[in-house]
Amino acid sequence: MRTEITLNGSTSLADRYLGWAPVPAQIRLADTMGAVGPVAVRLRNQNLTRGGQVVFFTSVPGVEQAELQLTLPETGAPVAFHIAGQFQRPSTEDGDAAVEVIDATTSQVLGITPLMVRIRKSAVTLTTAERDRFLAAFATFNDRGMGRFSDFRNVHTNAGDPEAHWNAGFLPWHRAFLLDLERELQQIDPSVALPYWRFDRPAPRLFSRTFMGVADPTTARVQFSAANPLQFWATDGAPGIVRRPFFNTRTQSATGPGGTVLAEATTLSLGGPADRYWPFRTMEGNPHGTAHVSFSGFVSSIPTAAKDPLFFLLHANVDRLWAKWQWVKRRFDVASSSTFSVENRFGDPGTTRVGHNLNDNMWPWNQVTTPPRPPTAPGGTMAPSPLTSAPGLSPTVSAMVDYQGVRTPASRLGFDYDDVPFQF
Amino acid sequence: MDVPEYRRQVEAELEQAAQQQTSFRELLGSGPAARRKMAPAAAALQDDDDLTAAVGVLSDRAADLGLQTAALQVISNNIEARPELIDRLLELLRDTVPADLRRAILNVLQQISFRMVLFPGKRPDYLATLRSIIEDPDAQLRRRAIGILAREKDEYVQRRLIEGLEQRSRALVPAAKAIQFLGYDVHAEYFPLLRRIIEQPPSRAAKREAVRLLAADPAATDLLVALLNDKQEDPEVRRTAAVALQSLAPDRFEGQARRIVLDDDEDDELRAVSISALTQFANPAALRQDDQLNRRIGQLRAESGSRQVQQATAGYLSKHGA
Repeated sequence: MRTEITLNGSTSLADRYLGWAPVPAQIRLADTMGAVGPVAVRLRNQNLTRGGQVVFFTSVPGVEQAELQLTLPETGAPVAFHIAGQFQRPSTEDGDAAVEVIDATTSQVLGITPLMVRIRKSAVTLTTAERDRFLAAFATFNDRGMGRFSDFRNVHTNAGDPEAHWNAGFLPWHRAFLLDLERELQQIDPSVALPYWRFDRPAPRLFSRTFMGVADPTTARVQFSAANPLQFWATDGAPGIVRRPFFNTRTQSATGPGGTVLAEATTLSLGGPADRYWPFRTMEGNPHGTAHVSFSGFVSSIPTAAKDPLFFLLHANVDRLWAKWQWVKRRFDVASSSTFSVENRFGDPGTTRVGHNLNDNMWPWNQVTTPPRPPTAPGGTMAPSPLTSAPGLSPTVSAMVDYQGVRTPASRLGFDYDDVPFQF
Repeated sequence: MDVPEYRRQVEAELEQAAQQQTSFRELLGSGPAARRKMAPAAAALQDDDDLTAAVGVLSDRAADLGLQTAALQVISNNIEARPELIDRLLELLRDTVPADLRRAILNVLQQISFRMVLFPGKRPDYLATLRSIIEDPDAQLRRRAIGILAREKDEYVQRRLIEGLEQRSRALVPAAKAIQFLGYDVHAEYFPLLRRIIEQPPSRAAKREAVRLLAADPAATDLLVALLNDKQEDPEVRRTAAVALQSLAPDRFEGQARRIVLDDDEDDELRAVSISALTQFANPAALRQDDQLNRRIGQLRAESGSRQVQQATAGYLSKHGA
């Protein structure tokens, strides 16, 4: 006898990636030889001591289980269940979270399905292999300034500024921008998830020659170890990155001459006593803007910030803070003005600049280039994912909110953060 | 830890942080040590009276910098409600207040540029103010203003940077920084100047920056190859030439990189850079068939005492090894 597990309706290796959010799965007897009736099986983690771990649900919403007992028809008909990564037990390698299917009667192993609990992690906690895979994928995507990354660089400029900044859509727009990039990186190496720079803590492992590099004391030109592929980073026809911190990256959180980034707990309180979105989004100034200007160089100006790969780790942390605020304050219902609002008015008043209202499509993914949108829309539509159809090729602001599918499972975007769980 | 327990822990942390929050006016009444600790949180919690107090502190020439920095954060957080305060910040940036405060103001203005819907309307004044301080006696302030303008591709500052490279008495910043700033908007007319700098460099750093920018010059391939092959040249210049050549003419670089890896007398770090470039960007099928190169990399892995070469060969063998 042999079992077969499908995730999201597929047995493809490309679909074997999980976050914290439960995804629909099925199991069936793919080879029924020897089965004389329904077969009772147990699903469990193959190795409890290492690698990513998963949990099971018979249905959702429901209670997670470390093991799942199911009875499989001898006809080979599938049985549905849900599966998710176990919070705080992410993978470090592709396929290191294996689900083992055991015949409950004979204890015979009927199948092993390797999975990956692929989670965005704090950059300072990555293993060497995780770090190197991320750097290699990013360098390949940029391809010395000749690759597709140039579209991302060309989106985050003064022309695209009003689409991305200064208003309610700041957080959703950047969530989409990161997701688009991460999906591109995953097409190069599906085991890669975007790490984040937790800028309210020292990050010596991140600001090292083997990762994001160290500034030359004379010129602020970032230097890398000889094995780091970012040493070949080029944008706009010129190789290299310019970035000098105003703070001690070994001992301090991000600090510029104008101040220090807000601590995480302070940021999460920006929504005020009622925990509302509009005041929370002032985090666009501090910590977001403060983190940008805690350096000189590319990352400190809007037209050049996305030339520096650090930009994406900085913004992954901004997005994580929004995600954490959403989780701790339960802000996933787009019908609530506490979840998303424009100038304290609900969702789509239509008076705010297009692109920032709840039901607006976002540039550049909508490919609209007539005013007031910018004259070009580099990069085309949103990169698709084999794991989910959300947020679609031309995402709306609204589509970026319920990123885990807490309220609407179909809106799950397919990423999670190491310290932001899924909770019904 | 299960998720409900984790939630209780996070909520407790937020509760504790909320109790520690203070207003800017409370900050005014505390000592310097307490102010340093409280300032970031105070910037997040303020009302109209706090804002009024912050504006007052910023104008108080006797106030200490820590307090003024906290005041700047309060103003920054409220700038959408009081956009006229941008004019006040620009005024202070042009003023004779201490350079430390002006650097903090410049930093906050740059932060505001990331988040303020009204900022585009203020941008012309902001850029004009920056232009007015590019000869400021404070070198840090000068350099930061020039850097921001250069990233905005400001033609005036580009012209001044070129003047400084051509006549050192008119230099606003060291030559290496001037070249780097011009690199934000590379024009073909810079290339003759860059070649002259490479021939007669004012500093090693300036030469490296000039070599780097020549990656944008299609006619510079032979020059970059010559610099890369010159074993008498500064190793850092050679490595910069390798990176520039790799960007400008990848095929030409790969041949050079192979030669460097096979050469017993080459600089270890340059060898490591070459191996890394081949690892990351060369055609994997061609590499697999290159027995001589693969033998050599295996030998370097086994015998090299260079940490950089060890890391690079490990990366190569992990990706392309048999």
